[in-house]
Amino acid sequence: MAEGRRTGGVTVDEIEALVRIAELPPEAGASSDARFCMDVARLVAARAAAQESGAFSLFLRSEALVDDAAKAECVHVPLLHNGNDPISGHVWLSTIGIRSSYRVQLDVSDDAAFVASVLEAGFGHMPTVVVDWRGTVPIGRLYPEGLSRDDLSYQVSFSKLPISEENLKSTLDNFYETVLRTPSAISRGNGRRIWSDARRGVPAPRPEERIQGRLLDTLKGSYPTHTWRAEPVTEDGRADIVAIRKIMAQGRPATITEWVLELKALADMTSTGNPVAASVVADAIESAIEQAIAYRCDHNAERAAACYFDMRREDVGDDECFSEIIDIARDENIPLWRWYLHRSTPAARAGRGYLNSSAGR
Amino acid sequence: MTDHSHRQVHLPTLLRGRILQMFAALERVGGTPIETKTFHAFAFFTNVLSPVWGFEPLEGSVLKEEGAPYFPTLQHELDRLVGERFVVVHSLRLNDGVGLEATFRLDSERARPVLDALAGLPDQAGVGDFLTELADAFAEIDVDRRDDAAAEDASYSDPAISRGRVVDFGEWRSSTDDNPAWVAAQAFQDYMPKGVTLDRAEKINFYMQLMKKRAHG
Repeated sequence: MAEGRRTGGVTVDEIEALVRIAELPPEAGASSDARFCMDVARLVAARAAAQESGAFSLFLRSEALVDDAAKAECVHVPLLHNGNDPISGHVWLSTIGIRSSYRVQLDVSDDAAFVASVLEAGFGHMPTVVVDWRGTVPIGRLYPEGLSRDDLSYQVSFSKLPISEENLKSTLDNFYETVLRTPSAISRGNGRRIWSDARRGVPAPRPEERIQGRLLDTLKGSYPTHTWRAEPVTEDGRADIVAIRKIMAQGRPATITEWVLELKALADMTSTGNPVAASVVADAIESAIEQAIAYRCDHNAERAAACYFDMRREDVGDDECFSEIIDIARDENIPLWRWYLHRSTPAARAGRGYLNSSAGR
Repeated sequence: MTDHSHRQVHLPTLLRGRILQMFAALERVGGTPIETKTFHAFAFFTNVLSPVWGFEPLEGSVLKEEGAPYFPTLQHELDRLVGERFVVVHSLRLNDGVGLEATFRLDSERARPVLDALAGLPDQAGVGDFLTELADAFAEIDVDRRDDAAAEDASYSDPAISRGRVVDFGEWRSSTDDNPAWVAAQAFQDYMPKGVTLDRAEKINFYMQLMKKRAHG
């Protein structure tokens, strides 16, 4: 803070005191859907602690709660967020924060019934979190475009345990399939474009930053019990995402940095349409794993992964892409994950069947 | 015409659009129905903290009176929107000694075309995200403390500005360096551990946590 600038009626002591006791806000910068997933996760945790059991809970996110509640037979449940009302076996109409909620009188006795009920009631377009209570632990699924688009969904993990490499890779694969694989997927949901001109292979400026923003929000919603953060993207295109998990250490709250993800966009053209030399791309491939190693050390993180988003004309495959770094990745236990961004939907269809698998493991 | 005079000429129109956007954000986070004075408190925070997000306040000053900030021009435009049924009176009660008190919410169906048009304007890019971020943090404050939170704001509670004087946080003075709320929001970075760079959303969130703490006592 520059000298001489005043904080008015607030003192710097107050600011410092708050920072000492407050944690980094996990919801800051999150989309409405990601926030809603966090809110549902908190409620599910409270109900799981109260030994809740049952079949399904559905949470519909409304942007106009009173208007939406008037469309169906509903009961106002103003204190749902306190966690003292049973939630399984019910459809809930609520907002971000679950500050005001309605129980919708719909049949949710089985998964076929609840989908049909929600669609029939006209709520099929609303972002929906479905909680499945039938197993030993509750499992969540977000349908960002509602149950009318049940082909588009993301897992919502309510677990406070460490995120496994397999589970994280699966989430990133789903992100790739639904958000990045084709230019039409990228433009869905008013997301920032990754391509300036996909057909010519010209990326948008700072593609890592654009991918980082969308991926960060997906991770916030998929793992709402963790805090996900991203540092500002550097001039040389270094983009990181960090996952932080809360623990108790010697009876006191503490945090562990569980994962660091180093993101790198590989492009053979600049955002101004000029060619990028192969040597520059090779340097970028190498620098990502070096940065992953360094960042894991800086944060004392448990795990690190290098994530490559390949925007080049040709999909060379993992073996060729990682040939120079595969040994170091193996030695450092850093998975190398790569996803190829197609420049058109026909190209993506032609490429189906050549999905890339992880290397370096 | 300067930016400032341009804004003044078009202020009523700009305010009407912004009022609808604010109501939409409050609806989204369960912050409605909302009382008049609480809406003014939220409007105050949208003005005083908009430079943290990177844009200028619509109204960059307010008269410091007893209690929370109040914007007469905002109220006039809100009254017009109620008359045009974009904003709906949800409830009305008689409060002894105060008079009629109303709570309001948005007629979402009627406001939707306007909100969609605003969302498509280049100079409105990011406004929706900012208002949602702020509304979610504002709604974390107890309902009966939200006015107090605005009165506790760094700029509004500045002891250098006495009651009856104008609190200027962007009208004629800089909305950043001369705005104590902006300065305070930036100051959280000074106390972060090495390697942590707060983004604008985190600064807004921390600042509103501080306002909540001050309001709750």
